[in-house]
Amino acid sequence: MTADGGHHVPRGHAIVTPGADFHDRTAVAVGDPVLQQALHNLDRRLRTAGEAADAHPDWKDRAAEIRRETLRDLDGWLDRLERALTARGVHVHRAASPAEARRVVLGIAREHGVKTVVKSKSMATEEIDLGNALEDAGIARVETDLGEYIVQLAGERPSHMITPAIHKTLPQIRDVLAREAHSDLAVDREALTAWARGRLRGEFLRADLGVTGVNFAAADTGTLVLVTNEGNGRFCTTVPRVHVAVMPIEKVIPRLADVGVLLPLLTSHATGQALSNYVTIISGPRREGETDGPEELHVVFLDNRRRTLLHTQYEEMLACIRCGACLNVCPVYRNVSGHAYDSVYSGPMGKVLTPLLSGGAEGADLPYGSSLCHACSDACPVKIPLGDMILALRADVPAAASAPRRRRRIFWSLWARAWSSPRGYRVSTRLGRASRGRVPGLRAWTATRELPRPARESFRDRWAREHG
Amino acid sequence: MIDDLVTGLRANACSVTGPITVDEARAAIVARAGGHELVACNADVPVPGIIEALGAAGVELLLPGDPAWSARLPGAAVGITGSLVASARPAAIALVAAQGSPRGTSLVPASHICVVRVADIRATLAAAMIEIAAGELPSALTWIGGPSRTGDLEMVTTLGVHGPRAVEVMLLE
Amino acid sequence: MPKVALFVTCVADQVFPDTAAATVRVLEAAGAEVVFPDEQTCCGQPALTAGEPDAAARLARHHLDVFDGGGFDAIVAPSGSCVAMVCHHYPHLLGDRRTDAERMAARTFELTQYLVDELGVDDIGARLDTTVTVHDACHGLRNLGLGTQTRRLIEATGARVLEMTEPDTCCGFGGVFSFGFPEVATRLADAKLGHAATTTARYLVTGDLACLMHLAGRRAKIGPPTAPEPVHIADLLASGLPAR
Repeated sequence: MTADGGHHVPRGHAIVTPGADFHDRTAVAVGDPVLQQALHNLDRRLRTAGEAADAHPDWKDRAAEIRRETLRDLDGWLDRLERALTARGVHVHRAASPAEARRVVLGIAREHGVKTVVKSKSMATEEIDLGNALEDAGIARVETDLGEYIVQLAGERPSHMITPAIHKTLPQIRDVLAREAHSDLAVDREALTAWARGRLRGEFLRADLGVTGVNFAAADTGTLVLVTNEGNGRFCTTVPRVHVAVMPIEKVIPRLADVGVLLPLLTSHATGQALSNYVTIISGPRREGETDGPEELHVVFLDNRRRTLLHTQYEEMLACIRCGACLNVCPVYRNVSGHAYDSVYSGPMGKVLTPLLSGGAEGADLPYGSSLCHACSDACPVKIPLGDMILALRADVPAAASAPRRRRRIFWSLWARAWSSPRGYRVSTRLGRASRGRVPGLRAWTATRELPRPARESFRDRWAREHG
Repeated sequence: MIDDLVTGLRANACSVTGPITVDEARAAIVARAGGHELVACNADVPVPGIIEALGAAGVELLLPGDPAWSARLPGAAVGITGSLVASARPAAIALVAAQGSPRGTSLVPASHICVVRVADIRATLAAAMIEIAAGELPSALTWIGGPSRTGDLEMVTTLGVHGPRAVEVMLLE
Repeated sequence: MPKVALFVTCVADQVFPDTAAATVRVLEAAGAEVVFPDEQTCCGQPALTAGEPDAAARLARHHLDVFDGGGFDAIVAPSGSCVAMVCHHYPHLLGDRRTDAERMAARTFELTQYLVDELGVDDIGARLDTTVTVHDACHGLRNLGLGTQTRRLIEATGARVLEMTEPDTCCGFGGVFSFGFPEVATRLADAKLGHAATTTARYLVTGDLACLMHLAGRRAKIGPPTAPEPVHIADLLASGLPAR
C-alpha cells in the first residue's frame, strides 16, 4: 500500500490470482464453502454488537463532533500533541510516507541493537508493511495478537481489523498452530489458547522492542490510549526496553477525557463489549524508581496522503475510529470477507480509504463492489457518510484517460442526451423493447436469474391510449 | 453503584468478594495466595500488614524493590495490587504504574488479586476519566475488565490468552 | 382533492406498467387526483451510480423542468430509490438551481410515504385475506426512513404481516452492482428469499421495482413455486380494491 516511488511489495498477504479484479475475488470467496462457514460466525457478532451499540444512542452525535473538531485544524492539533508528548520525554517523529515510517522504525531498532520485535495489532503497521521490512532487516518479528499471530504463521494478511483470522475455522487454526508447534494440538479453544499463551509468553519476555499502534492520542495531556482484550498490548508496552507507537495522524483527539465517550462506542461497535478488557493509557516512558515499563518511547506520526483528504468531501473519512462496524453490517463483506479486497483496509471503509490513500493506484474498482445499501453509514458510530463517499468515488477516482473510462463517459453522455428528451427516450426505449435479450451484458443477469416478461406497451403509451 | 460494579465484573468472569473489612480482606488474600510458592505483591495494596501476613503463611514474596524482580516475576503464580479508581458502568478497575506498583504484577502471573476501596468507585467510566485527566497522570494507567480474553477463535470468547486467567476483586468497605 | 403528479420511473414505465397503473388506482382510492406529465423520462440514477454525475445532472435538469412549477400538490413515485435520488442527490447535482430542486424535492414522495405520512391514510379501502412478509428496500429505509408505512397499509387491508429475519438487509440488486458482481448479488437474493420462505407468507412485498425484478427473477429460476411471491406494494393493495 504505497504511493511513494520505492514500491515495496507486501508479502505474506492472501493468495491473489494475478490479473484478478475485485469481482473475480468476490466470486472465488462466494464459492468457498469453508470460508462461508467461518463467515457464518460473524452473524453472532452482528447481534451482540448491535445490542451493545444501542446502549448509547445519543453518544454518536457527541462522538461525531469530537472527531470532527480535530479535522477543522489538524495541523494545529498535531502540533499541540507533539508538544505535549515531547514534554513527557516522548520522541516524536513525522513520517510523510510508509517508506519514511519504516526508515524511522528500523533506525530505532538498529540504534538499540534490536533482535526481536513483539507487535501488537495495528492497521497502521500493516499499512506501512512494517513486518516485512523488519524481517528483511534480519529482525525477528512476532505478532502477539492471537488472530494476527495465526495469520502471520499462515503467511496471510489479516481479513478483518478487529478479528484478523475471521476467515478461518477452528480446525484451520489448529492446523496452523500445530505446524508451528511441531506437535499435535487438539481442535479445542482452551488447548490452542494455552499453547499460544505459552509460546508467545516466551517471545514477550525476550523481546527488545515493542511496536504498537495507537487507538487515540490526547493532545491536552500527551497521552496514548491502547485498547486490547488479550493483554498483548500491555506486554508490548511493559517488558521491552523500547516502545514504538505508529500513529496515523487522524488518531489525535482534543482531550483525554473524550475517551469516556469514544472508548465505549468503539468497543461496543467493534465486539459488542461495553469496554474492551484492557485499556492502557500511557503518558511517557517509565519514570525514576519504576520497576518496569519502556525506557524509551517513540511515536511516529504517519501521514501517507491523509492530509490530501482535508477540505474535500472525503475529509470525514478521517473521523474513523477503526471499530469495524461497517465491515460487520456490509452485505458484501459478510459474504466475501476481507481478503477479497486485496487491500490493508477492507469493508466499506476500505473501499473509501484504499483508493484515496493510494491516489487511485490501488482499489480503484472497490467502490463498484457495493450495492449502495448504506448499512455502513447507518452503523458508523461517528456518522461518516460512507455510502455517499463510495458512490462519489466512482466519479472521482482518477483512472487517468484509460479506454474503459472514456468509453463509459461517452456511453452515458449519449444516454443522457437521448433520455433528457421525451422523444429520445421514446425512440430508444422502443428499440430496447424490440431487441430484448440481445442487449450486451445481460448474461451476467440471466446466468442466475430470469428476466421479467416483456411489457406489451409502456405505461405512458397506455396512459396516452386511455386518456387521449 | 457497588451492585453495578459487582454485577459487571462478574459478567466479565471476575470473582468478587465484599464489601468486606480490612481484616477480612487480609485473611481472604492469605487464603487465596497462601498455597503458592511465589507471590508478587505491590506496595499500593491498601491492606496494612498484608506482607507480614503472607510471609507468616509461608509464602515467598516478590516485592518491587527486588533487584531480580523482572527475571523472577514469570515464576509468580499470583500478583496482588491495589487500584486507583473503579468504574461501575462499564465495570472496570484502573491500575496505576508507579514506584512500588509495577505494571507486570497484574499482567504476568496467572492470577491477579485486586483490592478496590468502595470510596474509589465512580458511577461511569466517563466520570472517572474526567477526574483522571484533570490530575497528575502516571506513566501508565490501565483499565482492567477481567481475565484476559480473545474472540479470535471462531468468535467464541476464550479466557487466559496473555494476561491473567483469573481475576479476583476484593472490595474494601 | 390533492393533485398528484405520477413520477412513474423508467423501470415501471418500461418493464412493469401494470404496477404503474396500480399506483394510480391506489392513489385515486386514497382520494387523490392523479395526472401524468408525459414529458418525464428518468431520474438519472443509473448514470450517477455508474460514476457519471454530469450525465445524471442532465437528466435531473429535465426532470426539474417537467415537475417543478406544475402546480402539483405532490409528486409520487412507486420507488424509494428514485425518490431518494431526487431528495438526496438533486440539490447538489443541480447546483445553480438548488433552490428549485429543494422545493421540488420537498414535494416528492414515495408511494407509502405519501399515503400514510402526507395524506394520513392507512386504509384505502382495499381488503385482503392473506399473509405477507416485507422486504425493506435500502433507499426507502435508510434515505427516506420508510418501514412502518408499508406495514400499516397492509394491516389495514386485513392481511397479516409475518416478519422475516433481517428484513432490512440488502437484497443484492444495487443497480450496476448486480451486473458487475452477480455471484454476491445472487447470494444475497438467496438469503432474502430463504428468510422470506421461512415465514411461510404467501407474498413477499417490497416498495422498489428493482428489488422486485432481482428477487422475482431469482425465484423464477430456482423456485420453489410455493415460496412467497415477490410483489410490489402497489400491486398488492390494488388487488384488494373493489373492481372498477
